Amino acid sequence: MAFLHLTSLLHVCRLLVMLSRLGALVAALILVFKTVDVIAGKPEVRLVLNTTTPNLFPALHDFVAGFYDGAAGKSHRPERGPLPALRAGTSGFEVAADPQAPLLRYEEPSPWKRLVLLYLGASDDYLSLAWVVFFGVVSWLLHRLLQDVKPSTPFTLANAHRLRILGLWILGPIYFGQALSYLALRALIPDFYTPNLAEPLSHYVRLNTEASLPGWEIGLMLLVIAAVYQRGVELSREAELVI
Amino acid sequence: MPIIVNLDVMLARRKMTLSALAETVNITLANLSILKSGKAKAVRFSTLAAICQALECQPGDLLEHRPDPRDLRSADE
Repeated sequence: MAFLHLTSLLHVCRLLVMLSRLGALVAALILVFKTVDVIAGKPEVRLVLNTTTPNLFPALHDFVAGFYDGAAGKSHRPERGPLPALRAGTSGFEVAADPQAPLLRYEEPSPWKRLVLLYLGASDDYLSLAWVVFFGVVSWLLHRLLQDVKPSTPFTLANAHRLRILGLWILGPIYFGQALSYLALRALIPDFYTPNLAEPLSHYVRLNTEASLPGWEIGLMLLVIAAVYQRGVELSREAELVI
Repeated sequence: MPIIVNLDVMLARRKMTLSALAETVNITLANLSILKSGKAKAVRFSTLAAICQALECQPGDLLEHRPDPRDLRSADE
């Protein structure tokens, strides 16, 4: 299988990284256009809801809810939680039934709040500031990493360092930053209540970064690969000093 | 490293240059320089045998164990 050879893989990966750098540039430009559109455009905000679990620490919430349900002898909860009843925009907001997920619609007079909602990844299907920065940083690090890898010298200390930065970047700013983003979201969105849900709707709004950015598992895996890679660097250096 | 490489001593005794030895044992001059300067981490038996044959000596003539007093102290403890 010649395509799995290191040289062939490097050629393919370099091409893909070049395309992703171009993609990051295009995404940055689209974000600039959307910024102008959000500031000067309509005050309407559309946010995706997931009423199964609150947005902050959903796994912990599910774990606790499952524990109490099990203790009370209740059956497994349905995949999608109780949908809020459809209602007209009498209290300044509307919950719209979308085929994919319910939407929360309301008018936000402050352009800065609308802008922050866009940058956090709440009011667009895929675009967010974190996504654009992540793509920029990752494509740049991968570009440098692939430039350093040569078939004769595959292991370099600089690349081990880059892999570690990549892993830490995903674990830190991306994963824990998302929890902070949800806290900011709760502060930005007014407290709209619906009959079926105990908490305000802002606690069920979902950011698109949940799907578009890698999770902590990828960050942890990259940290392990970086440590193995560094050991490879040390071993290859030792091997060079065996006469 | 408590192992001292006395390659330069043996070369002087045999009146041989490092380049000539490198050519005889078919090792690069750079690798032989690493061995001579004591930077090498390990020596293959095949390399050692080739050097001993070229210099007509024993491995003990090339290598010497000179332990650091601190290493001996920690071994006693």
